[in-house]
Amino acid sequence: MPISPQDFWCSSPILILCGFGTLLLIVDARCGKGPRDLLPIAGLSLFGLLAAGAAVLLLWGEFGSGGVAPVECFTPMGGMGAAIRCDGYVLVFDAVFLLAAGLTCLISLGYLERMDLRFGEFFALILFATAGMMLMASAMDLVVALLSLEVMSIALYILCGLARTDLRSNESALKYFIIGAFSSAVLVYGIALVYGATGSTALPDIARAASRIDFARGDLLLVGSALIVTALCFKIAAVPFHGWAPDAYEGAPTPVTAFMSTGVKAAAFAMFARIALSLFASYTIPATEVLWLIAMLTMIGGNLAAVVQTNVKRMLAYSSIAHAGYLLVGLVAAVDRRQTDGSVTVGTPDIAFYLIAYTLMTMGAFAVVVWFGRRRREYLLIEDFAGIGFRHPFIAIAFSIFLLSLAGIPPTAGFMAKFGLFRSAVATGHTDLAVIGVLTSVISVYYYLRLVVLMYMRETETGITPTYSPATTLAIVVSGYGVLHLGLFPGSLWRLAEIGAQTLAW
Amino acid sequence: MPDALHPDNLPATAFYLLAVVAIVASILVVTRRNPVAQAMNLILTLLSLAGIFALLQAHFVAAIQILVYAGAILVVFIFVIMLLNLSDEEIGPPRPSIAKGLAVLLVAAMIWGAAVRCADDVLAIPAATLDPGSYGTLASVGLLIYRDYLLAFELTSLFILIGIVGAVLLASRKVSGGGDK
Repeated sequence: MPISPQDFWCSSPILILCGFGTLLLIVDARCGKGPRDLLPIAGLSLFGLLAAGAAVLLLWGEFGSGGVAPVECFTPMGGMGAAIRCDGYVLVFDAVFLLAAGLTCLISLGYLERMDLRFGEFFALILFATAGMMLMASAMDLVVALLSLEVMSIALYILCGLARTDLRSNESALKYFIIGAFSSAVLVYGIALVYGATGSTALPDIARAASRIDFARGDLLLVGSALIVTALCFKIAAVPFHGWAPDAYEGAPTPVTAFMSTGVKAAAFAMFARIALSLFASYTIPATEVLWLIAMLTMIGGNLAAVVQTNVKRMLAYSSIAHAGYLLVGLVAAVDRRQTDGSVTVGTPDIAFYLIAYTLMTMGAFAVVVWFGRRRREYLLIEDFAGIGFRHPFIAIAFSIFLLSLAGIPPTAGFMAKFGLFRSAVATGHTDLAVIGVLTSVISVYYYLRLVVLMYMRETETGITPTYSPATTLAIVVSGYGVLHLGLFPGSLWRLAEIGAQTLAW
Repeated sequence: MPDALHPDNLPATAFYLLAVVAIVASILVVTRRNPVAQAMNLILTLLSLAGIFALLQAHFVAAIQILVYAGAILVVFIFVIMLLNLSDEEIGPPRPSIAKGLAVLLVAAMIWGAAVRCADDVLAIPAATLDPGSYGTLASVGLLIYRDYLLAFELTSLFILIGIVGAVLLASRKVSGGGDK
């Protein structure tokens, strides 16, 4: 089938983001680099994100209601599968990426100016990375999946090293780059072996071929799948493939860290779910057992390591590893159900909902960290937050809400999200994982609440006097509202996630 | 072995020769301490891979492999190595460790798993229906890139654009407000 206007319409959010990213590069080259050029450039990038959001909404109106079948885009004429696909699941994730990118742009407005970082390329790279994430969620072919993963990753390696004179930023970029390149190589090797075993790189063909391969003789598929899972575990920073994450997260400029721990995680999980549900479409490989082990290790390892951290960014990095563990619980449930009766509607809506909630609360927490920064100075030690409950009561309340939500305490979004994941785990017979999840959440309460206690229980003489940034405040308000709204009225969004998962089937 | 030189067996003989050269050279890339020697061994690996591509009738890919990888990319590698001009002290003595030994064992196990145990799997797959007239030609490669994998091809251009932005951003000498004081 030749390329039709429909293909362009269905991929319009991606095209809009790429277009605006390129436009930003041109505008940046034409404009001056002074502080007063920051607002127009940031405004243009936010406008681009809004335009992409509008396209996502219009597409949701068309496909999300469930009336219209998902559309396979860029179906090549050679009889192979589609390159990308537009369905409700993709659109839900597109919204998550746009939310993460929009909040990142908001919190970086004041930050870039204070830290004297270059802003033209920053916003362009954020837009390109978001386009890469959307492609990752919609990729139906392993070649396209790999390339979109690289589009996102390359943009992020650069963003990590944005603060060129900061050694930590250099270290972060280099570590992330080397580990990223390494895991991509592992992914390519895995793709090659899966291609050898199934004769195709298209996910539907792989799912069909995999179900025909005898388990006892499926060694090639086994090794290939193992390599692909390993590479994706690097990307989501699951234990034991998490070693790079704390250093990369700590050194990167804080808005970039926020973007990495939310957007990248969401994109990697969107891709992971689609690939895992294709590779493990039937019981040819003991996949749930392996994923079970990784989920357990990640929940325990991430939470235990977070307890001893004294730097807020590192603590949030380990917390993000722990949250990858909870998300893996949902993936175990999804793969388990897929192997039992072929359906894809268990676990996947919980993963999507969790990622929306997680994006809001993590973005909020990082926004607070950015809010307390000053010119060329950031306050990242846990001790620095002592007593701010008395001096900045509103920000302290918002921070407490985000931390309680991260710990999974009702009535916040984090509770509802965790509840959904553990419910799916129990429904598919993985009660043990749900129990581990609840127990490790109890551990996490300790390190999240320690910050809250410091904020309210200890008064200090010298406190931080932050530089006020209205955009960062707006980001905090938006995320705070989102976290509370999802905690109190999760129904409507839950419904959206379920509709999205129903269109996931192929 | 006279059989190896029999016209029917020549492709197989050539394949095994090239495969052994490629594997030995790629091991040397990792084990040699001198960067120039590593780069030279990498060229040898890439050239033997080009030979294997040619044996598979993929002549265009073989030519590109020599032009781009063995030619252009390796020249850049060697430029960088010469510019850095690392002395022996900077490279340091070889440091064997348990982790490295473990990694070697793992890779060996993986190669064994992929190559030996899975050989039957590969043979079990029916060969793709190839048109012998056009397979491996420039036209068929062009159709693959610009028709079947069009989106992937366009993605690489986006990918390269981002790479250029990164190079300009991270490597430019004079930075206005780029975090440099």
